[in-house]
Amino acid sequence: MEDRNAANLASRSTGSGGQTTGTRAMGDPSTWVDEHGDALFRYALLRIRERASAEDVVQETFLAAVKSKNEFQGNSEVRTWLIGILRHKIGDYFRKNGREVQVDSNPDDADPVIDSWFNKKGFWIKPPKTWDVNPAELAERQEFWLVLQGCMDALPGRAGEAFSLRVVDDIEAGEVCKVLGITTTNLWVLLHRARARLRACLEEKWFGRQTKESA
Amino acid sequence: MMLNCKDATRLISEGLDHRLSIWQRINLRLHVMMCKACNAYKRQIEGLQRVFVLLRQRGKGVVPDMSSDAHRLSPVKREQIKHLLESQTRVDPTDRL
Repeated sequence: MEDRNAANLASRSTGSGGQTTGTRAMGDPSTWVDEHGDALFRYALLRIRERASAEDVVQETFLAAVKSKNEFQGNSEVRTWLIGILRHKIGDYFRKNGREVQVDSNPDDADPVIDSWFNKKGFWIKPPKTWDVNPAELAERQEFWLVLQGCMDALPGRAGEAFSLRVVDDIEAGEVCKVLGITTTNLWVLLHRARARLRACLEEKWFGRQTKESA
Repeated sequence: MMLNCKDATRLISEGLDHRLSIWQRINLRLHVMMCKACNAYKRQIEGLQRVFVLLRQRGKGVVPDMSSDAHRLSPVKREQIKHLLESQTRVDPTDRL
């Protein structure tokens, strides 16, 4: 089976002078690493949290992708397809290392962290402060980026994945749902949780310190 | 029916992801007009969203240039994978004819 895949692959690539132009919308595998490598790596890092292993899993993903190129259906983006493979590889990694595959906060359940910010009637216990937000200026500041990264790393599993794919990597909502195997409503819940936590984290770690300066 | 703050924060986020129904929009607007905390919250969430759009535009896909290398594949690994992929696409010599 694998031989035949490999043969198909080779004939396809020699047929077009080393390019895989015959394959619809999937691009040349030689450009995959530059185009998708960092995105896959960040995704892997989010789950695995250890650099070297995350890189290895990304490598395995690319190799598996190249071997099963023919299974790629043009109905999703290459990146989504690669992330799908990556998720399997991450699952394998967890199993091999005796780590439980993470089954965390179900979007259908209440979120105790967010709940704790509100009283029984659903009103703020500790209301947000007024920030002096200037997105353009913030986006320029490296210190802010580092704090933001730290806050994103602290997001719980699925909310973090959803946010990273949808908002950070700007993958279409439908694709994100496919990758994560969730409904659109679930996605909204997860994004809300991610944003709410990021906000709280930034208020503590960034704006809490900045207020003096900006006042 | 009046929204409470918890519902309002949920709708503020959802409003970034899809178009809210007319009643949701009206209720949310009323709430945010009267509630200073949720008004602040809304600005923060929308400001954050804007930050990510800007970061994306600049960094073309996620991490801007200024981002730490901590969130990118290392150059060594990158080359290693490329090399492996290349050798994979050249595997089968019987198919060379």
